[in-house]
Amino acid sequence: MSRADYYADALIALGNAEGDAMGLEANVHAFANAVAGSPELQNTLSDSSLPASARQQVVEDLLTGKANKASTAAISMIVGAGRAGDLPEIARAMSSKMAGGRGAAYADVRSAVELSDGQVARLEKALSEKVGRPVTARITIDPSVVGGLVTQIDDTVIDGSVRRRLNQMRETLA
Amino acid sequence: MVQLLAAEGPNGRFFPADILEFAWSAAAFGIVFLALVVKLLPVMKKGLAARSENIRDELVEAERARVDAEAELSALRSKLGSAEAEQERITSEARDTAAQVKTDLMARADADAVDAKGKATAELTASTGQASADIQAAAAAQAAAATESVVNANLDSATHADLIDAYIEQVNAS
Repeated sequence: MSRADYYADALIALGNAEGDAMGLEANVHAFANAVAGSPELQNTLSDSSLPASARQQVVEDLLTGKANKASTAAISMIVGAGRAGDLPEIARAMSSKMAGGRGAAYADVRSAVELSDGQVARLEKALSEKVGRPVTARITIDPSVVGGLVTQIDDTVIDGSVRRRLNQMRETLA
Repeated sequence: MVQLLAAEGPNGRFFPADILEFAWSAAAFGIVFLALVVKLLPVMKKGLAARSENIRDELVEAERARVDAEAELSALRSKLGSAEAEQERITSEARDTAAQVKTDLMARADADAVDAKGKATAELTASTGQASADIQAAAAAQAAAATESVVNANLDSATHADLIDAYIEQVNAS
């Protein structure tokens, strides 16, 4: 198991103990997306020259009023341990394990913009029909996608991004 | 005889007044002459013989030296002949070697010229190909960058939504 797997197991156990593992998963994903979408925030939370308490204070300032105490404490602990850069991987591992526990598949979806709830629901339905079992999709904001989506379920990647089309055009011209 | 001469008396020309003086003088001369003949003649003969022997030895030695000198001269002439032959052989070999070296150098120069020409042609071809590839790559990169700029400029919320919907439709159709 990787380090992200251990953190994911711990977060799931914490979520189950608090009775809201799904909420914790959603908050971890949301925070990981926020970190991934803001280089300034990522640098601040990964800056080892800052005291852990200062980095944790940033997390608490951001999540107070937006996430429950368990989620805030869990994410603050991860950032305080210097693992802010591992948050996206931890979030994916957590979602994958939770989906597996429900007998569902976990879809890691990368998008340049936020998806509406309706788009997420339609995407999960389409992916479920494709893989033949329920699919839980978690959206990661990735500006490098440019447009469209990139979905990974287990080892299968469905790349419908504008980035792929630009790369194809670049290869064709070269 | 003496008495006869003594009886004749002096004539004033050949005989002295005392004829006995003549006789005694003649006798003394004869004694001295005889002594000279007996004592001095063998010595003179021996000396002459020794001198003759020396002269004969010197002649023999001179003859031997002449023979030796002629032999030496013959040997020197022979050596001179050999030296001339050796000189001719060395000169001939040097001439042949020079001709071979000249032939080899010309052949090598020809080969080097052909090789240099081949390399220059290959480098020219490679440079031309590389230049074409570089120009094509640069043009492709600029075209791709321009395309990406245009795409980014035209990606508004509606377009993003359309791209996501198209992706979901693609998953449904696959």
